[in-house]
Amino acid sequence: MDIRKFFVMLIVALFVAACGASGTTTESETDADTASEGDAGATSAEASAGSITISGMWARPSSAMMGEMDHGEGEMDHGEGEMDHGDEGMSHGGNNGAAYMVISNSGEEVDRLVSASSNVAETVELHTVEEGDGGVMAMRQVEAIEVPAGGETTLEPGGFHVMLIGLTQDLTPGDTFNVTLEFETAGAMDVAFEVREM
Amino acid sequence: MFAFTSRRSLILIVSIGTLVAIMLSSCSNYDFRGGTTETLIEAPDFTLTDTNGEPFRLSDHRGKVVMLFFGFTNCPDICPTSLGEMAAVKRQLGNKADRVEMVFVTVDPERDTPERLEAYVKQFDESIIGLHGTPEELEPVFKSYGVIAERRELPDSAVGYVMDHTASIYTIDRSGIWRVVFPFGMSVEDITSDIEYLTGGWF
Repeated sequence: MDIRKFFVMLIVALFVAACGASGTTTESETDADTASEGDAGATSAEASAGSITISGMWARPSSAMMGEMDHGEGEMDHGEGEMDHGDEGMSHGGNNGAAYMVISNSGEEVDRLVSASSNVAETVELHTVEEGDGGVMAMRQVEAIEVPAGGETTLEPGGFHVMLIGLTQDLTPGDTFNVTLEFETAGAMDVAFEVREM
Repeated sequence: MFAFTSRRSLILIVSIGTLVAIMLSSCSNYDFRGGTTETLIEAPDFTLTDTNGEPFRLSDHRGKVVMLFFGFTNCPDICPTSLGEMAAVKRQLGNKADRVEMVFVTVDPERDTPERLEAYVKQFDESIIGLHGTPEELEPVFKSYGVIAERRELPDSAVGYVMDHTASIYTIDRSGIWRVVFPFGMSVEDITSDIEYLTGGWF
């Protein structure tokens, strides 16, 4: 009879152990998007002009060549401009990149980022991403990115970004490159972006 | 005494074994962090072409967890974010990584040549498979997974046009059942947790 009691207890103990273990792991989740946001401020460098301060500048790694022009398996030959002359207008065969940052405005007037340029890309544009129904992501070009008076605007994955179209050089982790940002009020400023993984 | 109880103890042992088996299956009700469907269905099968020109049939990859993402190579923000996350998940999985197949399906067959696709996905991880097909081949795949992919002209942009598309990661388990969908922006940690569970590394 003792044996039977023992087995019953053993079963109960096993049950508690098995269920308890899986029960405790199920909390602590679902605040999904917080993890990626923490990185935005990782770079300590800052740049200012007038009442505008730029911080947390980074860009994701991207290789310039996309394997179309050479048949070298998409290897990153640095043969950038070689075939680009005399192509038909807008079709660029190259790769794109995106640059992110936090723009803060200590002034009493709204300012707007109206354009950007860089020698790492043929064209630089301002874009945003709008989330539609059912998780559809739609990228759109914007004319300007507004920075509220006494506030800040964050350019981050899934939202506003400076789009580097037709990269002329590889963006390799650890590299930095310059982008000239043009603000309506604060004017132009050269800002260094660090290339890194998210 | 032992001679008398041996049959009873055998029964006991067998029933304990059964109970333990039931417990393990019922108590391991892992809560997925990604989105799950109410009923488990087999992942819609398809055949597309990989960047080496070889056919890729989904059902040939049973035995592996398959993560499917739909996107286009001119996409500088959303797609790299998700592919970068997938690559990070793969690194986190360590030696279980080879139980996972990561697949990028183009929604922009017009511009995404095999060469371009290949170069694009390899930026993130050598093992990511890029798939393409004709619009007629791709359309039913989008439809069966509920993926929306719509061309939108951007007349003032040097990109010319973009594809508005669903940016979720569709995950199929090792037995070919469609198990989880990760919405855009879900953390690497949460995705890794679900994938690790699906790789069946626990017992």
